[in-house]
Amino acid sequence: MRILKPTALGLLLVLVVVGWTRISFNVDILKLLPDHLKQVQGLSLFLEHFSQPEELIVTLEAKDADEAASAALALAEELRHHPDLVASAVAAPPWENDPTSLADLVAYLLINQTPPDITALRDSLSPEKAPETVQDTLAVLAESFSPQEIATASYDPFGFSRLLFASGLAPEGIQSEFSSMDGKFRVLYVTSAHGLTNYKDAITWIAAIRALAQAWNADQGVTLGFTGEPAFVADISGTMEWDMMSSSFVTLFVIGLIFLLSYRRLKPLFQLVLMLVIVFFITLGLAGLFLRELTVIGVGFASIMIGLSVDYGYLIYHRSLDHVGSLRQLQTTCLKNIMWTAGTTSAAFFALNLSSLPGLSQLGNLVGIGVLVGAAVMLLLFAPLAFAGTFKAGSPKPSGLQRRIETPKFRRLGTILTIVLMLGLASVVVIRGLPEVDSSAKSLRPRQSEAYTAMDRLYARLSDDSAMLSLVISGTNEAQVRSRLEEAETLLQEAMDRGEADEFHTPLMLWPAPERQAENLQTLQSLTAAGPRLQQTLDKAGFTDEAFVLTDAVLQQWQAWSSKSLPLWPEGESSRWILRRVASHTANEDLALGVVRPHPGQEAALTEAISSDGIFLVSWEALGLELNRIVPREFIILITGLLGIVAVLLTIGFRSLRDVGVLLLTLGLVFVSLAGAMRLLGMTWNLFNLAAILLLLGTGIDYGILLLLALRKNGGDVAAAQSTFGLIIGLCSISAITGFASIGWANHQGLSSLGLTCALGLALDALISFFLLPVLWQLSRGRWPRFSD
Amino acid sequence: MQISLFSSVLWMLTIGLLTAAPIAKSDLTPVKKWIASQAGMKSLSADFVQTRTFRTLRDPLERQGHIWFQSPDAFRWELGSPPTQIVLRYEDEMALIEPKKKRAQRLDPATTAKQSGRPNLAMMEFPLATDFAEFEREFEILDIRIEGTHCTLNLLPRDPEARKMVRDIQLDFDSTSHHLLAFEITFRDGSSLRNAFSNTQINTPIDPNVFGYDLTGYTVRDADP
Repeated sequence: MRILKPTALGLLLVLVVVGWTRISFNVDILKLLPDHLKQVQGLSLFLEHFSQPEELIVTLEAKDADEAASAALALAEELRHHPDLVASAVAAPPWENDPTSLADLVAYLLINQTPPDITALRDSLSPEKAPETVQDTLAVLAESFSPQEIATASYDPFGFSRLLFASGLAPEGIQSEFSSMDGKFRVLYVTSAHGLTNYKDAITWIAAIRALAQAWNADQGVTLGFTGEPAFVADISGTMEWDMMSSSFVTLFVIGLIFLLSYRRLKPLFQLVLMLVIVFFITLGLAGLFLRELTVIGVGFASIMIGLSVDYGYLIYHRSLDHVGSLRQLQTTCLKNIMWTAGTTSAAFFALNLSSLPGLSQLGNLVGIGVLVGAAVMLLLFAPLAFAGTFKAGSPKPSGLQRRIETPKFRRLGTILTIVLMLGLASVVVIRGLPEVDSSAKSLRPRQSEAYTAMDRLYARLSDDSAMLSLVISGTNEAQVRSRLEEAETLLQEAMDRGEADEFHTPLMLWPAPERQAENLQTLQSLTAAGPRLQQTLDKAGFTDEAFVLTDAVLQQWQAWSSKSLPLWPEGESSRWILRRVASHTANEDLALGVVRPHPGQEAALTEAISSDGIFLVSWEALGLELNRIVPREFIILITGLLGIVAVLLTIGFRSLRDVGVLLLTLGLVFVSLAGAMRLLGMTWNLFNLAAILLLLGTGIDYGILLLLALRKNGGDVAAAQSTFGLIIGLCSISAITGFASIGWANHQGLSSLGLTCALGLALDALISFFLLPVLWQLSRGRWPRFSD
Repeated sequence: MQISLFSSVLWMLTIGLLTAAPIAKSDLTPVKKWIASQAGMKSLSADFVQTRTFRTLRDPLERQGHIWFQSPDAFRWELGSPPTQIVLRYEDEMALIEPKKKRAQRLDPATTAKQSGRPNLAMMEFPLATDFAEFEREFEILDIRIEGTHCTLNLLPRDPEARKMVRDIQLDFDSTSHHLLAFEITFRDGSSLRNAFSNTQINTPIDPNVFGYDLTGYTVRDADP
């Protein structure tokens, strides 16, 4: 036994340390959501393959276009002077200063065309036809009204690059991913010199780039913004750390304060706080053994768990004050109450696993473990300390709060005010209805994020594609993706015919077609040796050598590709820049990305119609709609199930349907009052705070159970029951409310709303359980409530 | 094919400047007078020779053309002899016609104006500017030179999209006849486009049939959205 105890403690310590070293933060909000949903799958693929995790987007706004253009170039140049930080800083399309860098893309687009088109192209460059083709180009140069056609023809007299413009890849105007229409808003794309392997790397790198940019801007006066994937990671994970630590400290502080006010003793207070810190470390360490990453919702566990675990400490300490007997007897006495409350509370939190929201499941598991660890730590570690402390110091005098709770006046006034409050809130529900349901994806986003603000600005100033849906197509190889792209185009064309979509763009034209590539390269082989002849044709028509540069580069590219294995992808810098946002190909997975503009009001029908194997039509709004279609239904089933289980357990435990009825009625009043309070405060239901109903079922019911047990123990003496548990319920509810309320300022809107709703619900629950449950209990026994000593 | 800023600037300048009032020797008073004179113009007809030069061509390319304008919103611009490209507008209808290829594209004047990036610079917008202040908002006047009766004005459009393409716009006037002699746009890549005008007639009657065109047998494409 002597060896067993230290061994067990040592093992626990090792496990906790291992767990702590494993855990990290994950800012991906999709990790909070059910991964069987089509929207979640599609958006996850989108973020994984197209979000550019190491590319920081720097936005720059100036008073006029010239200033903005020169500032963007200057800032890019400044950042490029730091190769230890910056791999690339791009402020203009890579092909702007060297259009021939697009030669490999032009060559690639041509070999993806249908073989008859390529045969026609080859024929137009035959010795007989080439002079005529060049004369047609001269006519275009002399007569066309299109500046783009003129500019293209002068450098591409054989018309190789027409397809590039037909594909919409080359923007006609000034507006592009680098500049707004008026030129005053510019965008730089900055890539890290080193891999950003975790959120701390991202925070450090962003801070360094920001410092460089701001130092450069000291004498420029332009407005800078920072966004993109690494900025989101840095922003959100930074606030996650802050949310977890600040809410935990505030909860501990408030707990300490109310303990001091109630018992006026420092030593047990420090011991209690130490226990809570131990609970936190053990819980997070144990959680780290099976969780690798804390989500933005998961970080809320700390303060909730502290706020709930402290209840057991209060109970033990309160009981120890007038305990007569051994330590074991104290532990046994407290065990019964703690088992009830910790059991129902942890059951409610573990029940969140039944929800399909992994974020809530994680929160549930963490708090559930924390509550059980808290119960064990309080019974095994804190109880001996409390027992020894009170044995030495003796019982303190009852605090002013305790004395006040015991007066009939306090109970009468409290009951009347609670009835008035409850009736008032109930009438709000009757008059204004239940709180509205927020079906947007707003609850998934952080409340404040500079990266989000900058991205919103970028959308507003460049092309606002917020109404667009992203078409994500995945496959195991190029051929499968191409086949799915063709299927998607057919489906989208049908959707347009039905009036569900207004326009769509897919990268089908950019996607390799291996069979065509093989046949076309064969067809074009005869041209690869025709360079000198074609150059001579141009010379005779009056063109300079500069006019042949692109043609020559394309011919050379075809020559180079003739010995390469298929399928071919263009590999030049400009091509990679263009393709990075529409195509992703790795050894095991290929993805294509397009955009679709739904007809207003037809988003759901369109998303449903296009859905197919490996074809995803997604957006954050569509995700919100899908979640709101599925998750509330799930919660209703979950809540009904849990309510049934709780009712059965209570019936078995109390062996009195009447008492169970009183408890359930109390809960009903709590929920009606909560609905009224939320409506009054302008709060809405969302995906996350719906879980508050579940948690109130598990945690809020504890106060009612304690009072009901006390009423039964005291033979229905309301005054005695309220005196016994008044202070405990007060302390427990304040600490739990503090725990939940402290995550009310969390940056994640879903977590924040969950915290505020739970805090509000618990406050109402404590009031209604303490003041109204005894009234209902007396009424259930045909007695009119009285407030005597 | 889009009628974009390039052509919009070109047509606008043609229509606007063919009606130019005489340019004085000092300051910008001639320009102000010319802006003011536009209000009185009812119609315009002129021949022109268009010369385009390119960095990739050793010799310039020349085409002849003609322009007609009838207030408030009818015009016809044709290039080539016989014409190979015609831009026609009558009231709210506009089209780009290619007789040689027997094809035409309907254009939306409003969209065309927007696509130019500057609605008030689109060719169907007339008068060019209601006053000199508006003209200055549209153009930066770089230089004005007068040699004998020949007046040269150098401009730059203020529109960033146009400035990205255009290095310089040069206008040549005859201060005696009050007519525009030529205008030339030099682009950033060194290529240029020059229109030299002759036989300019202002406020002479124009046959209304000039602003119509029979598209029978043509392939007609609708305006791009």
